[in-house]
Amino acid sequence: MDIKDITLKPIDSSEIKKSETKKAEGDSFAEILKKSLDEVNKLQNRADESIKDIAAGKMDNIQDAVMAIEKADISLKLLTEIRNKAIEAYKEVMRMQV
Amino acid sequence: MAFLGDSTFTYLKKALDIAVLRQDVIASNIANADTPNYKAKHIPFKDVLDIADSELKLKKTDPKHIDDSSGGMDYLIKPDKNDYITKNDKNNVKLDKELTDLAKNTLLVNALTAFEKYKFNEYRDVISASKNI
Repeated sequence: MDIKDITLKPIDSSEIKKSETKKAEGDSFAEILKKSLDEVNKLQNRADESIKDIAAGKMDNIQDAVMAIEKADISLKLLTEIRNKAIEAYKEVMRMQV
Repeated sequence: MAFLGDSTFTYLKKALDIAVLRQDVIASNIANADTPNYKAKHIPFKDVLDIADSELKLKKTDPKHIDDSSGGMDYLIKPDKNDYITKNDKNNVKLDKELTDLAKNTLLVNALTAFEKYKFNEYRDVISASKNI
């Protein structure tokens, strides 16, 4: 999953301005989310394929299948957690007194 | 794709069916290890589902024709062609080979059940993920 864009930045007014100009070039949060969604989907498909190969007796090494499955599992859990956090943040903003 | 209509479940179900049938075949081989004239049978581990996918079924032109029991998977059971060496009573069961196959089959069943459990847990995770928002 590509989370290179999320990096800690020092709190400094000049730095903030620089990051704001950078933001225009980089991907938005929605784009990053969509990219990682595709990546998770790919991992799920790969896990399914390896399960099918094991079931059909085409593949002998179960360890590869377990590896693919664990990757898919962890990435799915991370994705749902990120979604939860995003919704949580949205709700927090909605509750804010203006 | 329908909910839980994932083809992986179909594959897992078929593979487990075959594994259970193989368990029966190995058990019958072990049980008949001392039966005169008994010939060992086996179900191959490799590329079983390709055959199972094509849905080979006995053609029935008369209702009195014999049904293929166990969901039409009996054609998978083959005589053990690699075993020409027989004992004096014309029995060719090799007990150590059967026990190795039994252990292998048990491992396969364990792996497949673990995969199935994982697949269901995946759905469960997504369904219950929004509870703690």
